[in-house]
Amino acid sequence: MNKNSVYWGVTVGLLAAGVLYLAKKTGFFEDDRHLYDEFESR
Amino acid sequence: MRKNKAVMIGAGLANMAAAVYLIQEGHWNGDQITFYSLDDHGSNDGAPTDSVTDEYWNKNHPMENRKGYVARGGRMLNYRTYVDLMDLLDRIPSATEPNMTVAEDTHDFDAKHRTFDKARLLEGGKGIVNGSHLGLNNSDRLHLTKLIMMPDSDEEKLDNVTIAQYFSDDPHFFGTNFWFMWETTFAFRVQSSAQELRRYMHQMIYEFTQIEHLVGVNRTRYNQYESIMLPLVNYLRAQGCHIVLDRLVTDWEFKDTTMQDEITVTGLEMQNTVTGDTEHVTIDDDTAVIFTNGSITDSATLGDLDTPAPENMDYGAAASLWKKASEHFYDLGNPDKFFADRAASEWTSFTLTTKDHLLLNEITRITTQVPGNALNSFISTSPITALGHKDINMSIVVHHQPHFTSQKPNETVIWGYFLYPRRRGEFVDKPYIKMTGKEMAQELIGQLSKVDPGPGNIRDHEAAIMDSIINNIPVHMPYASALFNNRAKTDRPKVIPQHSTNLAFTGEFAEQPYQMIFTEQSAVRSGEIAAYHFAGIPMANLVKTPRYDKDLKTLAKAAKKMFK
Repeated sequence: MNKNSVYWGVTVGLLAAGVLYLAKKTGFFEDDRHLYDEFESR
Repeated sequence: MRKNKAVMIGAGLANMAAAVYLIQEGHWNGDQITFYSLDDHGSNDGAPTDSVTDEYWNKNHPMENRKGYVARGGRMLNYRTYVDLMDLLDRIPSATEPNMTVAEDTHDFDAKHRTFDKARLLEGGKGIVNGSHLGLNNSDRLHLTKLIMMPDSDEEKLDNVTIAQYFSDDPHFFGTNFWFMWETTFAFRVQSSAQELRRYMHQMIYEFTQIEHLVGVNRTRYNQYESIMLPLVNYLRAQGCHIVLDRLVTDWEFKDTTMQDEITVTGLEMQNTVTGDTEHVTIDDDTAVIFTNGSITDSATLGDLDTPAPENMDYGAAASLWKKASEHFYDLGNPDKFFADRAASEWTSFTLTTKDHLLLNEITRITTQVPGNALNSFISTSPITALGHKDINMSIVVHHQPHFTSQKPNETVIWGYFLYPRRRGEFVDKPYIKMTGKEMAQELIGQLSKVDPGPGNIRDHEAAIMDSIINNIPVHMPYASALFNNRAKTDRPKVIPQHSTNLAFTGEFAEQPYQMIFTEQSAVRSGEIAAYHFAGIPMANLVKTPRYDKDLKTLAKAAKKMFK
């Protein structure tokens, strides 16, 4: 039971880390709200 | 920096949008805004031929036959991504439909005339090609996926990389149905910028699932001058804007500063193209200058039924002025990237007017679809590219009729184009650029005859069709795809350049985040940014841009489509 939990925990953890890595790598979480800051009237 | 007056150089869609936002969001009066321009339609045109023969680029090319209509380019809209354009069009009354805004007019027409292309690709011996099979292999899919997955922050990795270079180890890509449809839907060429292709893959990602039917395409009721530009001109004139035409702005005066990097325009030199007189306009501290720094229809020339369009080697009015500004300051881009490489940017179009519906009915029979629904591209039956691939010879757009308000019920107007005008015709043995309007019509009938399912063949009616042609206007546009030319991100000036106190850049040759060019969307948004900057409106108020490239459902659909 314990061994099974560890196995699934590691698998889910690795998958989550992979998805997060891919999302970060592809800019999925990039915040584009700041992109227009440079055009603000000062 | 906030201003209270604006001088617009160029009266195309981008600057007209800027004026509308200054008036409606900045609460300016129209008389605070003055346009100086050669004409009032920019690249979004369409007119009876005899009404444009006196325009600046046509003056030195007198035409024998001035009948029929001309639309140098043709454009398709897309509600889902052209959010700024639709916002603009909802702010102005239609020029043709009473009690409707232009957006309502367009929605009304489009809802009753949905695009569903049934013959996107045609090929001799095969007829209508099933474009839903994109024809991609694993290497093609991998290359496209890499583009889709590349984040905005890594975009510079594609600085100065052409599409041909990006796919250099995967030449198969250029022989796929996907490429045939993508290149002709958006007018990309193999020498075009891979950076811009990346932006299209992001912003048009959902088109993957429907590219063979173009169901995402929306169209205006009439040509884009009467349906978009004329309402803008009417609105701005009614608001009191000064629209001064027949002016070629030729040079700048800038403020001299110690560090030589402050960009402040103090004066403009211009030529009255009717009288030839030189004029000077002083720009005071309270005036913004909003400059559309390139036009894809600059230096475009017209032919007629019996005359090919001559080639005009002029650098272009807007680009020449941009070049002078870029010689003063280091961060205003490199116009030569776009306007000194015609081999990468030129194409030739034609606008064919007939006195009856014979040709229209034959095209309807062959393509199995009603007018107004389609962009039909003809694939060559033998290899014609340097890589030894087949490619598209020519494309046509059969508009919903009438396409012009003054068009007679019996008349038909059809538009078409050659993306590679130096290639030779199959039925008229000369380069497309050298063809008369009559020869282009013969080439079109030839291409249609190859895909005609019968019984009989369109060539059986060739004499009658040729007799029905009132005029066919070839238009050579040396810079038609210049906005796609290979470039680095710094080759276009930012809409508001660093250290600028009163100069903004608008249109398709200005750099702004995420936006793909060759869309009315990017043109309008650049004008909106400039207006908000000079009116002191926070950029948070800009129209919100959807990000389909971050929508998991859209990405999943695109991934699935790649395997068809």
